[in-house]
Amino acid sequence: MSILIDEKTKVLVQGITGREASLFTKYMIDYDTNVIGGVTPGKGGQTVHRVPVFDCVSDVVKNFGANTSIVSVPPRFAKDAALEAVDANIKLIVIFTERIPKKDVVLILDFAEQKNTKVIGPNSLGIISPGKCKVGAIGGPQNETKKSYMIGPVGIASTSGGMTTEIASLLTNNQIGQSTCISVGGDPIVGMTFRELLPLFEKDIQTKTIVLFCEPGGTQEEDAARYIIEHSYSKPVIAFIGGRFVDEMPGMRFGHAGVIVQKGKGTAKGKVEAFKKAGVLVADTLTQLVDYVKDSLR
Amino acid sequence: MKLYEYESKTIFKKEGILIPDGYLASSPEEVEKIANNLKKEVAIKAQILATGRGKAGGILFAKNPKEAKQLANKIFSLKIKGFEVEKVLVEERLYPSSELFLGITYDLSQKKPVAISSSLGGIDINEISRKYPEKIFTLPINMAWGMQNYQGKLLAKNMGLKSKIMFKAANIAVKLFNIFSKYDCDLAEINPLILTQDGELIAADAHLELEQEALYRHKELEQLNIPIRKDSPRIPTEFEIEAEKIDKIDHRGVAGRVVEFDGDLGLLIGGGGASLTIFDAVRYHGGKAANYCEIGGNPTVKKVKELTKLILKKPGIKGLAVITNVLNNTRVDLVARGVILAMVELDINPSEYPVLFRSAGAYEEDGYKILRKYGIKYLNRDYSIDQAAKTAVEMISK
Amino acid sequence: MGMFVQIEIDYNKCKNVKNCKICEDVCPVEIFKFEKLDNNRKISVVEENIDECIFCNLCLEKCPQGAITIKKLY
Ligand code: SF4
Ligand code: SF4
Repeated sequence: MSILIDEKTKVLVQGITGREASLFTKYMIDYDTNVIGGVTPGKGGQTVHRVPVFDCVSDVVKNFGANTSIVSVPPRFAKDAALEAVDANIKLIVIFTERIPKKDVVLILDFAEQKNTKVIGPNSLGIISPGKCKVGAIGGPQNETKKSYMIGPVGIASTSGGMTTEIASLLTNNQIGQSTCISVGGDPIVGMTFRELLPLFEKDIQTKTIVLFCEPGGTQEEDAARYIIEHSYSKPVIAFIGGRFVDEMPGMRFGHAGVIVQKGKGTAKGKVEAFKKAGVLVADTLTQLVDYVKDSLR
Repeated sequence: MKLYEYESKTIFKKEGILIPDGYLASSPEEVEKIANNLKKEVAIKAQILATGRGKAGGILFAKNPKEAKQLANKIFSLKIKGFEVEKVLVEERLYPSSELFLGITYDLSQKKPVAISSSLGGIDINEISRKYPEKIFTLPINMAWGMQNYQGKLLAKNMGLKSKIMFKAANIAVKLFNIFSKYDCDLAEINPLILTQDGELIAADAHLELEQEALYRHKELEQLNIPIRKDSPRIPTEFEIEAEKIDKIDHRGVAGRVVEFDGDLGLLIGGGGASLTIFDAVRYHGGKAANYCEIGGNPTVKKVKELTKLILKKPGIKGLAVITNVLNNTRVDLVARGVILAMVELDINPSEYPVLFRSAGAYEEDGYKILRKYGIKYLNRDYSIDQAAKTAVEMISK
Repeated sequence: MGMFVQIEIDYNKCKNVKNCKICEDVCPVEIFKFEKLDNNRKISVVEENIDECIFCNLCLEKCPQGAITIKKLY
């Protein structure tokens, strides 16, 4: 098993003719992902790496049964693209685009909630279930993806796309594989957060341990900690918080748009405390993270 | 982008929220003239982009034009949280029978806008929530529907208002939400909203913050005389200004987010979450960073070169650590080229200078080949970020 | 010549196609510049950009004369 995506995933790429999208479309195909169509309004009829391009999402859904979409369009078109996918009954939407205004993000999430659609991102590098499928640019080119990711028992959810691959690679180096790795997106408001992913990992029999990569700012970590306490979460969760130094520099942004400590809120320190209260192990270094993961799998 | 009070009030006025009669002034003489024209007691308010101006003496009341000029002199000479006072707002003085609070922002956890009201206005909202949490009322709002009248009424009622005034306040709440939505705000706040002795509700202060990412669709700001700019929580150093110029050379890659520190280890580090992790790791192992500098999104060789030069030229630098995560799209070989070019242009021998390179991912083989040719010590993915940071710190403490 | 990349144009081949500037159009990092140097040379290699070459090979594939050679210097 795995969560969100597997061999049955049929991917649609919105904005497929774009520079980055066409590149990661190739990488997805190389990884044996079932990419069945692309959409770029006005470019219907073309192909990109032999994937047919359509004008509308509904064309791809009706004809080929796409169930997952990756959205990689310029920020100003992102709301329209995502709403179109929700309306066409796509079940999982991964939004790669970054810098989408919050108002648009909230509108997308509201509509998705009504239609029971799952949203990952914005500003997500993608999702990978090693050995089965990947959606988005996660892992990069084929041989790099294969070096970094391998099948196994660890689920990863991360606010940083780069660190998703870094942590997977570190585990792979230690012969520990992964079930599903999700770059949840570095923006202040994103679709599925740690709190929403934890129950999916809990139900997944392949996943034995969950690793969370966290950053200062926002409330994801505190929300996840509360969820773990309230639901007596049954699997080990190990967290790593990047950017502890940000606590000392309130008002300044580092790394991602969401990484900012304001008026004493969103501090790394607060997150460590919340996690510790919930029985989540917080690693101080990546070396320690690997040790914790090894222990949890024993 | 934070707006000045007077800019926020321009928007309030346009959207039909009552504000005090007032004008902007940039000299004590102008203040005197305005006070003269208003023919009332006036409030003189420093226009700065930081909170807490009241406590710092940035708001003063004057009985007559002459006094107004004197007090204005005082305010113009203030420096509040590092900001010089260049403009003041001169307004008719209000006589409140009560001060209320009304605000809209995003609740990141609920992923929705929330409206907040309180009967305790005039104090910082964080202070209210700490001391009197029961006095704060919050209400999530559906972005697609907008705020409905009944919601405005709920907010007003929870400010302790009744009958006619309750409806007036409800109306202001709805208008404030409309501003929040229409102008893509991160925050829209009236604090205090003043109930005057003759039963008027007036926005005595106004605080709008517009979302940076949405500014591209607000051409109307220009017509309202609100220039687009970048917020900075502190005044950038020369080093940081130089770095920003380098980022503007071209549009490929993010390579300009640079913060200067006073340590001795120069850093060129992977972007996003990786930069946070790497910077922490350096500190964890006792390293003192000279700077924070992200590279990501596959920048040009030229950008990497210029940033490296900037860092290498910084006084007090003892060594350079180029550390990235396993890269998804930034190319290892291009980063390596940039770093080496910088050294060569500065007449530094790469094989003798204390420099540590840890990177992996896209085009790593080419990258390693280049590094080997120039005798630069590098670590691959077999060494974690953590080990790399430790090695770099040890390298310069020898 | 750059430090990491060497790019050369064989002008004897290039001059056979008048007004061709395909290499300038396809190169994503602006290595070629169309300009009249003299009667035989109409395209130049921008020295300061050479090290930006990403070896995408687009110029090699698209040049109708096979006039371009690219070498890694490492
Ligand atoms: S290989 Fe690509 S980058 Fe290099 S010169 Fe040719 S077109 Fe430009
Ligand atoms: S593409 Fe070939 S023939 Fe055309 S200008 Fe360039 S080098 Fe000359």
